[in-house]
Amino acid sequence: MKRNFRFILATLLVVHFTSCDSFLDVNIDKINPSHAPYEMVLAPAVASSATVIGGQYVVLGSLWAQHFTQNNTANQYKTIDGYRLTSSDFNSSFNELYSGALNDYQIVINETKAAEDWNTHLIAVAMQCYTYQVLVDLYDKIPFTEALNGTNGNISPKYDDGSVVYDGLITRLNDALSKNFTAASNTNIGTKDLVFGGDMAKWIQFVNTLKLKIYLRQINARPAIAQSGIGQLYTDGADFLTENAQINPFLPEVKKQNPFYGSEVEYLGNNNLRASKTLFNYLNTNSDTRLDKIYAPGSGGHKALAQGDYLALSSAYPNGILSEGRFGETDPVYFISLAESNFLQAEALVRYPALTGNAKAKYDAGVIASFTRLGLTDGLSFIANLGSYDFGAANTTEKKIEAIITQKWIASAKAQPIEGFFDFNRTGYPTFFTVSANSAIGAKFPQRLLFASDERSRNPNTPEQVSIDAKVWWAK
Amino acid sequence: MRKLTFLLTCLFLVGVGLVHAQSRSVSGKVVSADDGQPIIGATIMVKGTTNGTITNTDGVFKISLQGNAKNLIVSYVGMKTVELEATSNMTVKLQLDELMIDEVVVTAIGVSRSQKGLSYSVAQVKSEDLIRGGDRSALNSLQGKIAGVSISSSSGAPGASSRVVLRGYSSIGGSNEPLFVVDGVPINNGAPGSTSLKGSYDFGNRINDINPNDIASVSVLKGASASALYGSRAANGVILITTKSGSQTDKLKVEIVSNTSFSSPLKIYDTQDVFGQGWSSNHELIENGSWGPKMDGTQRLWGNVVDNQQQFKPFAAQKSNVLDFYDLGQTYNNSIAISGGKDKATFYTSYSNIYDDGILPTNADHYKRNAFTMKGSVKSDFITTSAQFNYINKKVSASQGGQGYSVYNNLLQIPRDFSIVDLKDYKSTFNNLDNYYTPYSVVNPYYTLAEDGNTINEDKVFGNVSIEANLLKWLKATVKVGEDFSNYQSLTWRAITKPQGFNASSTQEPGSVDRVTSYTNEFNVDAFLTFSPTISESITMNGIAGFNVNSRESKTLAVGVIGLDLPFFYELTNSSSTPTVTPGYSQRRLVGAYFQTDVAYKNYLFLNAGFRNDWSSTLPKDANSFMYPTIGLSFVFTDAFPVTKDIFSFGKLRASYGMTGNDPDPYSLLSVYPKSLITYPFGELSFPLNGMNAYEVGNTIGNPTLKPELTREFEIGGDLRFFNNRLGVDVTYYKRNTTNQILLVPIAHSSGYSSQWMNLGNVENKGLELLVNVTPVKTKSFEWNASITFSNNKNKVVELSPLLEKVSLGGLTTMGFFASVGKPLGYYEGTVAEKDSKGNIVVDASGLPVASATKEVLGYAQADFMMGLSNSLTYKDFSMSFVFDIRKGGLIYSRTADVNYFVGNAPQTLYNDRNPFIVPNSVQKVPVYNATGLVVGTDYIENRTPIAAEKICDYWNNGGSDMDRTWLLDKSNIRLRELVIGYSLPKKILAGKFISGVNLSLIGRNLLLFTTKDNRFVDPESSTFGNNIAGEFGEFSSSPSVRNIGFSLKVTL
Repeated sequence: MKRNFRFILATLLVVHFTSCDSFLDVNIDKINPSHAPYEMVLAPAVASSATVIGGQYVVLGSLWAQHFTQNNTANQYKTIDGYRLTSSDFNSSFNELYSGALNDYQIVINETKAAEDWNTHLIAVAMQCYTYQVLVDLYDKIPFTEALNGTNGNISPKYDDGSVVYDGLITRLNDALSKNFTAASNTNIGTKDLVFGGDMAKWIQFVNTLKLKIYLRQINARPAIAQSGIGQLYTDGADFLTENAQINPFLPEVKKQNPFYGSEVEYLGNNNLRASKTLFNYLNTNSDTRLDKIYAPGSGGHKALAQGDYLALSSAYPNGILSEGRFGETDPVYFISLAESNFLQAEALVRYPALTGNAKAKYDAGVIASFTRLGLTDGLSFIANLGSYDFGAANTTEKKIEAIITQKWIASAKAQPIEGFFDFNRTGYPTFFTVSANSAIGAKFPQRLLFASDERSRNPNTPEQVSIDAKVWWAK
Repeated sequence: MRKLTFLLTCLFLVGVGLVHAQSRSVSGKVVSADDGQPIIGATIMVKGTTNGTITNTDGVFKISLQGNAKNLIVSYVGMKTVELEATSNMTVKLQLDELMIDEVVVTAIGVSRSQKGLSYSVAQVKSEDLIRGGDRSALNSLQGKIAGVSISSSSGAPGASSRVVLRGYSSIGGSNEPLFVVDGVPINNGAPGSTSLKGSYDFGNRINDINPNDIASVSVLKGASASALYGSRAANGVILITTKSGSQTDKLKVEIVSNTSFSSPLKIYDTQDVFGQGWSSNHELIENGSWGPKMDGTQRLWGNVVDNQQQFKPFAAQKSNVLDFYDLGQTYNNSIAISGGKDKATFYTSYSNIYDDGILPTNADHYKRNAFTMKGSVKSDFITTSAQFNYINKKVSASQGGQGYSVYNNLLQIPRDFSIVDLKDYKSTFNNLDNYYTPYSVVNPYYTLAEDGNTINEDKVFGNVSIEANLLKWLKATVKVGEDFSNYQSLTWRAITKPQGFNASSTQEPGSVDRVTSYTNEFNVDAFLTFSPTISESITMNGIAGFNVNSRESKTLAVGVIGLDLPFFYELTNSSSTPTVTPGYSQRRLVGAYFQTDVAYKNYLFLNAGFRNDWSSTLPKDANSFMYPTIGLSFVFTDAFPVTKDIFSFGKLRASYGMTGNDPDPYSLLSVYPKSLITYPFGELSFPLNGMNAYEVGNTIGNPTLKPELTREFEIGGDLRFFNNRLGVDVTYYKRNTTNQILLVPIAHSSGYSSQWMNLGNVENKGLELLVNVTPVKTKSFEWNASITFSNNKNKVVELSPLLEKVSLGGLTTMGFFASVGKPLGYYEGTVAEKDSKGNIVVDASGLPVASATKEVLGYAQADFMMGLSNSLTYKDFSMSFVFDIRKGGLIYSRTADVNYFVGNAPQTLYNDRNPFIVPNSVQKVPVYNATGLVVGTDYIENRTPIAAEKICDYWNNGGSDMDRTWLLDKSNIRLRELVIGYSLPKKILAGKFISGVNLSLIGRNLLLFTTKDNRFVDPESSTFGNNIAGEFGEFSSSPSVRNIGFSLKVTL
C-alpha cells in the first residue's frame, strides 16, 4: 500500500509539469507597442530630419559655406574644414536619415494611402522628398527606387543617379498634390504637424517651393527641364512659402534642445566653430548689422580666422580671442526659410524673364526676411538705393544672380548653411570663397560627401568611392 | 580534485542485490575513522554473495545473511575497503584511502557521481582551496586553479566584477557567461553598472556576493557533454556551487574567520620625469600635458592668475605624484558559521560582514556586504526535507571611469611637475573649478572625487526548499523549488560643473541625477527521479529523469534629470527639466525534460547517455522545442587489466559528445514601435516634444523563425596516475562548434532598418587542457604538493553569413573590435601609417607619418595559453601556499596608454630626448610628371625631413609610427596571485579545550605582476566594457588593480 502511494505521488509530479503552452506564451514586449498610429509616427520622423539637417549638416554647411572655421585651439572638425573626410564621417547622419526619417515617412505614406488620408499623406511625401533631396545633393547617388524595403527582404538597395532621384521626387510630389483633399477620409493632424500645425495650404506652398528648388538646382545639368518645370509652376499660379518652414518644439533643457546646440554647445562647449574671415569680412566691410547676431565677440572684441587655418599658433590667436557663434538653445530648425523662398523666386524671375513677377521685390523681401529672422529691423537701409545690397546696382543678369546668391548665402548662416554650400557649387557665388588653409585636396573646394562607411560595409550595391572634390551631377 | 573527499549529503547510488531468501539480519553504522561522521551510501556486501546494501543518510545499514555467510565487505569511494565479521549493532570505521582516487564530484542537477565513471572532465575546487586566499569573491578565488577557465577581475575597485569564460568565447552576439547554479538552483549573476565611455562604473556581479566561507565546493562543467542536462542554458558551461551543511555529529561547530587586509595600487602607469608642463615644446601654463621644456628645477610661475596673484613652484618632476594620490585601502572581512546536527536533522547558519574601502582617498570607493545564511534538513525513513535561505545586502560606492569628468581621466592629464596632493583643497582660490590650471575639459580630480558619485544598495534573497522521497530502495523522487530575488536602487549623480570667470574652461556640465530601481526574479522547479536498479552482477546502472520549470523576470525603472539647480544637492527634485523615465521589462520561461543514465560494466567501463528537451518562451510558438543529447564512454583500463598499481596507479580514458543551446533574448521575434528617442553624435532629442508623445518605427526587423544557438562539443581525455598517485596527469582535448549564432545583424540603413535578428555562422573553440598534480615530497612532517594547469583554447570564426563581412563586438569608433571569418573572436582594427610598396612609412611635409586611408587589422585579444601553478607546503603546523597565474598572448586596448602618449607623460615619448628626428624608414610622396609636365603618378623618395621639436607631440599624439597599434598592449603577464603562510595551533595544545582549532595566516593577493616591456601602463586584466566578449576589448580609463596584504585568523570551536 505504502509503495503504491509513492508511485502515485511520483506520477502526479510528472503530470503536473507537462502542460506548458500557455505558460510559455509570455514573449510579448510590454514596453514597446507592436504598432502605433501614423500620426504618432510622423512627428518623430520630422524631428529626425531636423536632427540631422538642423544638426550635423549645420556643422558641415557652416564650414563648407565658410560661415565658420575650425578654432585653432580645438580639434573637433579639422577633418571637415581641411577637406580630409573619411567615409565614417557623417555615417550616422546618413543612417539616421534613412532609418529614422525616410523609412518612418514611408510607413506614414503607406498607411495614409490605405486610409486615403491625403492631407497627412502630402505632409509625409513632402518631408520625405525634402529629405531625399538633401541626401542626393550631398552624395550624388543614393538608394531611392529600391530603398526602404527591408521588411520585404531587400536589404541591399541599388543606388540611383541623382537625375533619376530628382525625376522621382517631382513625380512623387505631383502625385501627392493630385489627391482628393476634400474627401471625407482626410484628417487634420493639427499640432501633431510640427511644421505648420496641419495648415495644408502652407504644405502646398512648401511643396511648390521645394519643386522650385529642385528645378533651379538643374540649371546646369538639365536647363530645359529646369525651365519648363519652373514655367509650369508659374503657369499653374503656384503659391510659394510666405513664412519659414521650420520646427521649434525645443526647450532649454538637455534632450529637448535644438540638436545643433545640444551637440555643439551643450556637449562640445562651443569650442570649435569660430568666425571665418570669408563671411565675417564680407559682413564687416558692408557694416552689416547681422555680423553681431551671427557672431559673438571673443575676449578682445570681434576677430575672425582664415578658413581652415586651424593650425595657426595659439600665440597668434590665443584661446578665447576669436568670435564664436551665437547659438540658441531653443533656436528653430529651418527646412526652407522665408528668405530662401524669396531668393529662389527672385532667381527664377531673373533667369526666366518671361515669368510674371518682380525679381527685385523678391530679392528685397529675401534680405529683409534674413534681417528679421535675426531680430533686426534695419534691413531696409541695406537694400535701399545706394545701400550696400541695393539690387539696382546689379546691372546684368549674371550680376543679379550673384547678388541673389550672395545674399542667400548670408541668409543661410545659422539657418540652413548647407544651402550656401550647394549654391556655391551650383553657381560659383559668392566669388570670394578661399580654399581651406589646410586643404587635403589642393586648391579645390569640396563638392560632396564620401559614401557612408556603414553602407559600404553592409550594402554591396554601394558604388565605388568617389573623392570629395568630384562634382555632383548638377554642379557648375 | 587532487584530494580524497567525503561525500556530502548527496547520494551516490550503486547497484545492490535485492534480498530474497530467509536469513538473519544484522544492522550497523558506517562512519569515517577520521572524524566519526556517518558515511552515506557506503556499500555493504555479504562476502561470497551478490547480496548487498548501502547505508542510508545516517550511515546506517541493515543486511540479511544467509546460511553460514558471516563476513561483510564494506566499501566506499575514497576509503579503504574493509572486511569484517557481521555482528549486531556493529560500527564500521573506514579509513581514508590515499591510493584510491575515485573522487565524487557534483555534476548536473546536483547529482554527485564518481569521477571514475564520468566520460567528460569536471573540475572541482574544495572549500579549503577556495577560501585560503581570503578573497571576498568566490570567483576570484578560483583564479589559476582550474584548467580552461578564464577569470578576470575588471579592476581593483572595491566590489569589482569578475568575468568568467569557460573554454573560450562561443557566442558572437549572445551571452558567453556560464550558468551559475547554487545547490541545484540557477542564480542570477547580473552585474549592475554602466559601460558608458563618459562614466563607467561597476557595482559587481552577484555571484561574487556569496560568502566564500559558506561554500563547500565549486564544480565546473566546462563541456557540452557535462552540461547537456541544462540544455538551452548551458552553451557556456555551468558552474555548480554547493554550500556547506551541518553534519550529524551531535556536536555544535562554530567557525569564526576574521580577515584584515590592506590594498595599494598594483600597477600604476609609468611616466617620464624629464619634460614638464606645456605643449609643442613651450612652457604653457594652461596645458594639460607635459610637452613643455625639460624640467630644470627652477622656481617658476604656474597655474592661472587670480586677482593679480599667481603661484610659484619648482619646475621639477614630481616622481610619485600619481601614487601619492592614492591611499591605503582597507578590507575587514568577518564571518561566523554555526552548524550542527543530530540523527535526523542538521542545520547550518552563518553571518558575514565585509567592509572594503578602496585606494581612492575618501570612502567614495567602498563595498559593504552583509550576508546571512540559514540551512537545515530533517529526515525520516521515507522523506528528507531541507530548506535554505540566504540574504545578502550590499552597498557599493564607485567612482566613475572613462573620459570627461572621471577622477582617473583627470589624473592622467596632470603635467609631470605638478604635485597632485596639493590640489586636494578643491575649493581654494587656485584649485577651484573657476581657476583650475587648464581650460581643456579636465577638472581637479578632487572635485570629481568629492562631488560626483555612483552608489547602489542591493538586497538579494535566494534559497530553496526540497523534498526527497525514497520510493523504493533503488528509486528516489525529489522536488526542489528555488527562488532568487534581487532588488536594487542605484543613484548616480554628477555635479554642476560650470566654471565661471576669465580662467574658466568653456565646457559646461549642467549636473545630473539618475535613479534606477530594479527587480529581478528567477523561479525554478526541478522534479526528478533518481534510480539505480539492479541489472546483474557485472552490469550496474543509475540515472536521473526529471522536469524543470524556470521563469525569469526583470523590471527596471530608471529616472533621470539633467540640469540641476541647487549646487551640491543630488536628488531628482533638484531640476526644472523634464525627468526622463525609462521603464524596462523582460520575462522568459523555460520548460525542460531530462533523462540521463550511466551504465557500468564491472565498474571499469561506463556508458553515459542522456538528453534534455527544452521548450522556450523566447522561440517561435510552433518551433519552441529543441533537444540536446549527450553520450560518452569512460574506460578505467587499470581496473580492466592487471597492472602494478604502485607504479601505474590509475588510468582512465574517456570520450564524449554533447549538445547544448543558447536561446534568443525575449522579444527578438517581432518588430516593435519604440518610444521616439533620436540620437545624434553628441546628444539626444527625446519625445514628448510640444506636449506630444510619439513612437517611431523600430530599426530592428524581428525574425519570427529564430532558432536557438546550437553548440556541439566533442571531448576526449585521459586521467593517469603514477607512483601511488604521487604524480597525476589529466589531459582533455575538446572541439566545440557553435552554430546558428543569434546575431542582430547590422544591415544597410538604406533598407529603412539598421539591423535584423538572424541565425548564422559557426564559431569553433578547440584546445587542450592539462592538469598535472605532483607530490614531490611526502614525509610524516613535511609535505609538498604542486599542481599545474594549462589550457590553450584556439578560437576561430569558421563561418559568417555572406551578408556580414565582419561583426562589431564593441570597441570604439577609432579602434574597432570585430569578428570575421578565419580570425579569432575579437580582433582590433585601427589606423596605421601609409606605406609604400617596400613597407616604408610615408610622411608629410613636416616629416610626420600620414594615416593610411584604410584601417587595418592590428591584432587579437584572446590569449594563446593560460597556466596556473599552485604549490602548497606543510611542515608540521606551518603551511605555505602560492598560486602563479600565467597568461601568454593577446592584446588589450588601453586608453591609459593612449592618454599618456597624448599628454606626453608616457616614458616612450622620451625617444631621442625629444630632439628632432627623422622617422626611421620613411619616404615622402612626390608627383611624377610626363614630358609635357602633367602628373602621371606618384613616386616615393627617401625622407630627409626631421620632425621639428614642436611637432614631436603631434607625432606621439597619433601613436608615433605605429599609430593606433601603440594603444594596444600585450596582455601577457605572470602574476603571483596568491601567497598564504599559515600556522595552526598544535592539536595537542588545544586537546580538551573549548577551542578546537586556531589558524593564523598571512595572506597576500596579487603581490607581483610582471608584464611585457611595452605595457608600462595598466594591469592587462583591466576592463571597463562589461563581462561579455566586449569586455575583452580593454580598458577605457579603468581604476588600477590592487595588491592586497593582510592576515586571517580562523578559530573553530
